[in-house]
Amino acid sequence: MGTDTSAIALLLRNPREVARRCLEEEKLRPLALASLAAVGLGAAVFGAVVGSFRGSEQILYGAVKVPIALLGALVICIPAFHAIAASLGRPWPLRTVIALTMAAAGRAALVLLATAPVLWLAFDLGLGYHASALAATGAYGLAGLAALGVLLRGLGRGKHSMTTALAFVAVFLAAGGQTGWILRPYLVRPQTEDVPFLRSVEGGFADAVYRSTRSSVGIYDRAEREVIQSSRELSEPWEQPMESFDDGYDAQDDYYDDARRSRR
Amino acid sequence: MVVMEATASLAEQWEPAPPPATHNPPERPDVGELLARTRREEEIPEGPEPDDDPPLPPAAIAPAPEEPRVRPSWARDLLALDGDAKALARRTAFGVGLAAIYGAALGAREGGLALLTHALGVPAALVAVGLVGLPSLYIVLALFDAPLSTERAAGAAVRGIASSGLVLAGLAPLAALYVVSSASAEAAGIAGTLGLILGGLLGLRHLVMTLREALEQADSATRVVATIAQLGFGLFAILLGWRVWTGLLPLVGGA
Repeated sequence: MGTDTSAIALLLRNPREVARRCLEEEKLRPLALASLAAVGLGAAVFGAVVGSFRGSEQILYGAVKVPIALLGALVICIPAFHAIAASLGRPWPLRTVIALTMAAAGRAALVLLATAPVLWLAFDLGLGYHASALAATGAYGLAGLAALGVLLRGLGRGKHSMTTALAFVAVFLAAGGQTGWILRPYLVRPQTEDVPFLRSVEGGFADAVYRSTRSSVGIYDRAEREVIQSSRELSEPWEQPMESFDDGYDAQDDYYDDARRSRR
Repeated sequence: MVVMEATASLAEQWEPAPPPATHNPPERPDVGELLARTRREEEIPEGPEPDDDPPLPPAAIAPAPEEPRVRPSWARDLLALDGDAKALARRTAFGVGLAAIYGAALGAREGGLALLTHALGVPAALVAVGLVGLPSLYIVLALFDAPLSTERAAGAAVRGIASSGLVLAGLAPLAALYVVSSASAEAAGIAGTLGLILGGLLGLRHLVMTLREALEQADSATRVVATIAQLGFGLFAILLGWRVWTGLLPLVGGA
């Protein structure tokens, strides 16, 4: 236990030493165990806090789904990290890449753990749906920066270190985006009566990017055109059906947020 | 410093003698005498006293940052440049096999025969660039008397194929995730295409950089011609690769 505590302190305080240990495969076992524990705990607590926006069973769902999404993304990323690093001048053993990635994820999860109480307090004080989504995203961004600290030190100052780091970030965003999308929902409005563990398959991260790209240049698919047409026909914004929008802006959100604040 | 350490070591080695059996106590050896003897034995040159040492500059005192010692990996062997024909053939086969893993991931959307079609189609572009494009580049460079041996050119091609295959295999799990879980075929196609582009470009970069390293000894005029030829080769490789993939892979609009 003492070893784990010191490894966690090392993750937080000395990313350079962590990176060196990963590269030289020195005392990896306690570091890997501590990183795995940090990912499990930090992501579960953060997921539970995000789920507490609605409460009841969503707290448990969030606590289970966020670690699964994070670990799933890591499993998918590690072969890509290994291959990209090798192709850009760092032909490291797979063991080194796994250790470095796990350590970076462990550090990120500890940052998520640190931000969880702040997020919970903000929810409790009546933070709105969209602001809550932004706050959770900001916490994730902070955690990502902490992880990047370990990765950059591991990559060192050699040739193509920044290119490799950018490629790592792009791959992680792609993997994390899709695993996260598959395991939706996380942040659920309090008024939602039935919360499924997983939402039915409605496209994916790539579909959303594809649709948004087309919409941004004025090309709308048939379903989107119908939604826009029907929303124009309705006189009040809260008369628009919730199903019309897929995690996009919904005028009912503001209505619900106002109602939530007034209840408090 | 050496003298100080030797003195300390000798002082530690000297232990008090056991209780005397006789009334003549053992004579404690003089440290200076022991030190002189040690110097003679180890041929330590006489130097100034430690206190007289001039202070070292901070740069000399601070330990130089050391590069971590990373264990060699199979990826390093795969991307090596040297080796006989057998080693090159083995690496080529390995690179092709790795690229086929990415193809199988693309075929996972349809399953069945599509797995095989994509698994054959993805490495086909890499092999085509190596077999069709590189001999032409070698002939052009040889016309201008560029110092590039056939072994080196073959090694560069093998390295390019291996590098592409390695990156594509690394991206295969991510591609499979997108291809299988995307609702529309267009989104799945875009995800698969992005991986092909990344893998292809990184392999091409490895190949061109290896050729550039080989041509470093050439004169400046030859290097200019070689750079132009390599740019043309790069464009040709991109177009040929794209042609093969769009012709063979159903996911990206092929047959």
